[in-house]
Amino acid sequence: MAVFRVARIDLHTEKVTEEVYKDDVLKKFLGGRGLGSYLALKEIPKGIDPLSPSNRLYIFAGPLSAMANLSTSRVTVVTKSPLTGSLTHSNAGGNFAYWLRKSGYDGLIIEGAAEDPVYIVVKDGDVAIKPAKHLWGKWTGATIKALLRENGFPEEEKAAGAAVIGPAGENLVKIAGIRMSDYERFAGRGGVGAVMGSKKLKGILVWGTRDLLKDVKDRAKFIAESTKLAQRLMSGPTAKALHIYGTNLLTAVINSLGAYPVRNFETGHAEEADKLTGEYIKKNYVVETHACMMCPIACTQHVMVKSGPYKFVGKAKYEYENTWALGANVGLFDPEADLRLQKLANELGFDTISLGNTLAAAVELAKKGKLKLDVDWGDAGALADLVIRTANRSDIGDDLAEGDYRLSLKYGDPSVFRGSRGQGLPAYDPRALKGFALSYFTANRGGDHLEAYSPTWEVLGVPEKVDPLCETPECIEKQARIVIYAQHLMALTDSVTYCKFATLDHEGIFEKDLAYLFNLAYDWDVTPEDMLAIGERIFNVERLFHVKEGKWVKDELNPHFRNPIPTGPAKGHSAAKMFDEGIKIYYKLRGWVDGKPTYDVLKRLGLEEFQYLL
Amino acid sequence: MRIKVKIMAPLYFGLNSVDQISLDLNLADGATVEDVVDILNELYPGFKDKIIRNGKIIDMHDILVNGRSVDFLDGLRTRLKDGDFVLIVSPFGG
Repeated sequence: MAVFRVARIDLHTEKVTEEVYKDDVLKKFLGGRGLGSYLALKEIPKGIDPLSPSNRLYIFAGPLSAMANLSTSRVTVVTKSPLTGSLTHSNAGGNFAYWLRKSGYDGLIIEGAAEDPVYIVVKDGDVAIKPAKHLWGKWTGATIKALLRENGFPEEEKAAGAAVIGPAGENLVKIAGIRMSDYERFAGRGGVGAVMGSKKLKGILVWGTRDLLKDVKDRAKFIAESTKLAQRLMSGPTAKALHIYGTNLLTAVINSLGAYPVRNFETGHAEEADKLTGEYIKKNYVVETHACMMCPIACTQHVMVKSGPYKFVGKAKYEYENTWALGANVGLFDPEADLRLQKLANELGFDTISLGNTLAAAVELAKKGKLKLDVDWGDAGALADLVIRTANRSDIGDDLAEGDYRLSLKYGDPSVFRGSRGQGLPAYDPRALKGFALSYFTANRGGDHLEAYSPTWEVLGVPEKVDPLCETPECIEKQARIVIYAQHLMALTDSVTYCKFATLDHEGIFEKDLAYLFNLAYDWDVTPEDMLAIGERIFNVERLFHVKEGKWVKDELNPHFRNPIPTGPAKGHSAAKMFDEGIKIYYKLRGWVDGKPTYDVLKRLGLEEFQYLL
Repeated sequence: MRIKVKIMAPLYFGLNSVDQISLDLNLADGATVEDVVDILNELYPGFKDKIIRNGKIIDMHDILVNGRSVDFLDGLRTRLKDGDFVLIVSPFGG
């Protein structure tokens, strides 16, 4: 039997209650994103301001988190998003999930709001709320060090788990994230950092000595079998490539496909992107490779810029998405300026993707003369200045702090918003990787590549290869089917929890392996089909949150992507046909009508308790 | 004819370069993608086995010609023309 312990912490009353979820709930939702979304749907009152004390933060590991050496130290944050106004989920690696579970709890629910800044310490089952007035205003890295130091740990991010916000979260910037320990990990998307800021919660420190395999039926067998799976994962080529170069190998291939968004998705290819590639940055700036806790892949690349106008102190963690968002998407192709902007964004506590989207929208508005701002594409100095103003909500930064969607509305040109459901898109143009034409615009949290990652099948060919430019009826149906499968599998990764990088390879970890591990660990009797049904249930629960809010229910293609890509290898391609024809098949396969689950679907998935929402 | 070739992630392929390897090749008219791989194998002995197995591109690897996977062209027999750009693609993730 699995047991999932949650500490519910009310920051207004400072009352802490323990809740225990068992097999009856866990077999339906697991933990992480699944259990978080289920509780959010049940508990968060309709129509509340996401930045009011009524909102809740569900910070959940999963029932297998940190139990197997399979990239399982991942944590998901679920809340009502101040950016999109509906449900969001955001996932981070590092060591927080590991130390959270070691602390005696598998999840934390944060309710209410403190009067003055506080931080929470969870140590071996004891929850303490401590004053944080002296930390308010500090950048994220310094905050983690202070939390460790003040609680008797060395200033080494491996020593305990920490989740903190920077000035962006404190100032309720709607594109603020939550930084997690073990070096610049972020639950970035959806403005989850602003929700933490609205609760005057500067940070959370977790540590403990709990035996995570205590509830496992046969410890030796579980360790042996999960080790075999880890060995299989590492025998695959994807893990090897990720280990050597990290995620930014993507720049070369996505740019070559013509799917690399440049200057706010103006086009999909940049001749000048060579110096932003993972290979160039590895050669010139990477100083070490690092791993999340319990991860055999170890893909993290730490960089330093030691001299010149963009030098910064110490190391920074860098990724493909950040490099694109604060590089090509804002017309910046100087790797040192880009890396420094990434470091600045992480220290101030931003979602780097949405920050890049917002800066790009601001530059485009300025170029069109709709926003009085002295900034141009690639102007590193002006962009850094805007980042700081946004974090502090000073003058024009106050408008940028509302995010790209609201910024575009305020300045009278919604067409500069390149996203879905109020959130800007990540580093792939859906006109050149057409699987994204369906996956981006059906993603529940909006503007998202992680609910179904189409390069997995469009380039890597996992589980089967689909031509990213094909628009025949057969290709469109195949894309709809595979997007749905991927959405269910990704809901599982965020709820088990384990890393999506373990699903990119034929030798990766899929529903069959998950069923095997759960049966082994907790004496369950679930099938691979049961696992995928859990993913489907989670996806429908998230959609029901939109139904409840009456917001973002119907899936819509952002109009910009109806225009053909003007240049590059995918010149002339648009996302219109794939979306317009694919969405009909997608709804039919899901049993939905206009983006809304039907009673039959709820009944099939055991979600009848929510039929009142229909 | 003259074409451009880049090898992504050379360290992954066991080559002695961290940064991408970029080459300009002169090829006979009618040359194919497989001819390019053969030339790369001469320059970097053993390279062909890192990208092709049993006459096919190894799973989760790819070769792009002007941004199109040869899987959707004519495979390794894809004929090249002057000015083409060939990218040898390693596995990746993001």
